[in-house]
Amino acid sequence: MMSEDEKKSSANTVGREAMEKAAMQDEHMQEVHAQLMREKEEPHEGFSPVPIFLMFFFAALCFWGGVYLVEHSGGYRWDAYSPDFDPNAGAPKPVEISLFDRGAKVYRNQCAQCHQADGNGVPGVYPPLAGSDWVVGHPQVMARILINGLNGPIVVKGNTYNGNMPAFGSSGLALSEKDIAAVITYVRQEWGNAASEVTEPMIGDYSALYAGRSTPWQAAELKEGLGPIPEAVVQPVAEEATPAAEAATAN
Amino acid sequence: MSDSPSKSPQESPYSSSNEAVRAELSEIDASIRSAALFFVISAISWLMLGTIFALLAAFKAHEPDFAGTFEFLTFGRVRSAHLNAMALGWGNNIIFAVGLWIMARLCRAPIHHKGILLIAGIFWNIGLSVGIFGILRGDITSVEWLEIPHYATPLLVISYALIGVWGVMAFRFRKGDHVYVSQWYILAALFWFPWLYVVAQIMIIWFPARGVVQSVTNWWFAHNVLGLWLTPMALATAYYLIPKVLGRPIYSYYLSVLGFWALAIFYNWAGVHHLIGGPIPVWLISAGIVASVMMVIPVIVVGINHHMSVVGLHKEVWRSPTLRFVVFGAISYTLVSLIGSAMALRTVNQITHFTHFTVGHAHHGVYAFFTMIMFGGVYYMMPRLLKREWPSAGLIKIHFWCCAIGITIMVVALQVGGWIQGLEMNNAEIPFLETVQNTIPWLKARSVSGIFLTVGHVAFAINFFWMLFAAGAVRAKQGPTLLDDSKEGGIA
Repeated sequence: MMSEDEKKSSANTVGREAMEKAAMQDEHMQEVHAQLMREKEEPHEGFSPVPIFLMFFFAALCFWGGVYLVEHSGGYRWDAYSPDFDPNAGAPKPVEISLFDRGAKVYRNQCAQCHQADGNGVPGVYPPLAGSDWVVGHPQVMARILINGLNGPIVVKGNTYNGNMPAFGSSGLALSEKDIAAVITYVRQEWGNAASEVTEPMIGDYSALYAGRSTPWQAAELKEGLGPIPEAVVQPVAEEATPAAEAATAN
Repeated sequence: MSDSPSKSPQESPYSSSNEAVRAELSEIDASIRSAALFFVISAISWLMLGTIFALLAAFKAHEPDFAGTFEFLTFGRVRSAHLNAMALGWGNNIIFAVGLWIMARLCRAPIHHKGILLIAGIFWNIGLSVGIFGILRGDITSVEWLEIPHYATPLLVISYALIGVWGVMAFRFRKGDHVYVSQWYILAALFWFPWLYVVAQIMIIWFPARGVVQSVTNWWFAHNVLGLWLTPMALATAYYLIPKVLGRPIYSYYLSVLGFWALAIFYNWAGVHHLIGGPIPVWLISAGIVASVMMVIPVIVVGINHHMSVVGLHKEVWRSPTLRFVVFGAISYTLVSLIGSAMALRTVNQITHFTHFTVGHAHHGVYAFFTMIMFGGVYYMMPRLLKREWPSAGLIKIHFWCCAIGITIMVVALQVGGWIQGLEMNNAEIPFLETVQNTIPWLKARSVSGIFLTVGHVAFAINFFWMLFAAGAVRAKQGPTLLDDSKEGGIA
């Protein structure tokens, strides 16, 4: 390798003498020469040592990385998605949500558009739910409305509304029994309403009862033929709901 | 020569042994001249086109009705056309020019069969033009960073292979025993890019993997294009130009080694941090986060290495058009990478994810770091290739200041605005539309920064084509163009 380089450079030295003579006259050659002369050496590296504190810092970083992976790797399971998943804790438990909270969510998605977030409805168009006798009375009334829908004029808090409430049972928009129970519970316990909770088995019974019915209810028949009020205890459901729940227990 | 630990900048660059090397360099420059010129011209053309797309997209972000009646100028298409024109048009072309040139010089191996290189370059740009046209026409894919429609990508892959191979060939037939740090980066990146691009194309476009594997592949690719293609090429350029212009060795070989291997090992993992909170196994995300934070190691190492090589010679840096850009880029590399590592942390990412902060970060990296260094590379390379000087120091200054101010405004506006946006989006009390409206002043600031950048690019293009075509007056110019009135001899 070295000898090859040496040969080359000696050849260049001989060539350079001739070249320099020619360069005296040749303007272009002078220009190229000037370009060559301003070119500095090809880059190379010094060998300064790596500062020792850097090595400590990098070691600390690697340590942190190891700890982080142990803490947040979810046991390298394909089905662990939470950074706080603990592989030793057994199967992850489903999160418990109270009927009331679940109902609040269903209400926002399905009901609030017409009956409004504050439960007051729209005057003359959509009846209010807050403080309505239909809502806080016998639970079977609301269950009927939810499962089969409601059609025609109805008097709520002294005003007459003539609208069309869709069915949410299996023949209509097909909410699950749990969702129907939840949203009824929510409506009966929010905005100062303080009526009993409606559970999933209760809605299951009503659904079975009205599965054959294909027409929506009229206001006049809603309160006819009600069964006994099923035993349902109002329980304090969630922190946010305590005012309503407390009011209910006070009754 | 590489074995000498000497750091003295006084070492004469005029000694006769080096003169032979310098004559050889001249020969190498001649061998790559036509292809490199073609790539630089293409790169600058794509830069200008990409700038127009960028301005359109930026204006549309706060004036949605602007040019709203043209289907091909809708935001989604213009934005993607901008991204691809800049990344594959400006970025790749300038890498092919500067990267291959540096590789050939350091290997002391002239490019043979330069005709093939030139033709492959022409086909790369034809493929890209078809791709960008396809994007504007509406054939865009739905995958970020891989928007180019499938009928254009095979041509891109084939022409890339015929371009990249010349870098590898130069390395294969290199002279001398020592392999310089720039050569490591360039050689590695020449293999990394096609691997990334082909795997991503196959797993996402041609034979799509099922489910979330696509997203993982997507972000593995998109992030690695930045870190394992643009970044190593820009670092190689900085590693070449800093000691070359200053005539002083790079501070430490050991730091170079550490920096290179830390990048090679850690970066590949980092992309998954784009999917924090997404439905992929959490260990994958955590590994991505750890790798992102580990990137602090190469970043600090490279930062120290560059800084120690420059320290004490700040006046020279400021006078040299090349180094002014390169050092701006090198400083930005440290900043943007440390911010990037922080952004990968879950607590920070919860705020910055899905906001303009990320957009600001992307421009911080690709522009303030990569593009600025490549500008420096062009300022150094062109006088050697053309044997002419840059016609106007004034235009270089306009270029530098407009780009430096412009990109600073953009990064600050998008990151401050994006941070506020993230805090507001996490606050359920604030309606979504309000958070959108609150970003408008920041988006307007970005448009202002876009105008700065445009002015800078125009100044750059004028200077370049003036140098290229206006032979008479420019050719007579003597000595390097420096950004300083004092005429004492110096460096460019």
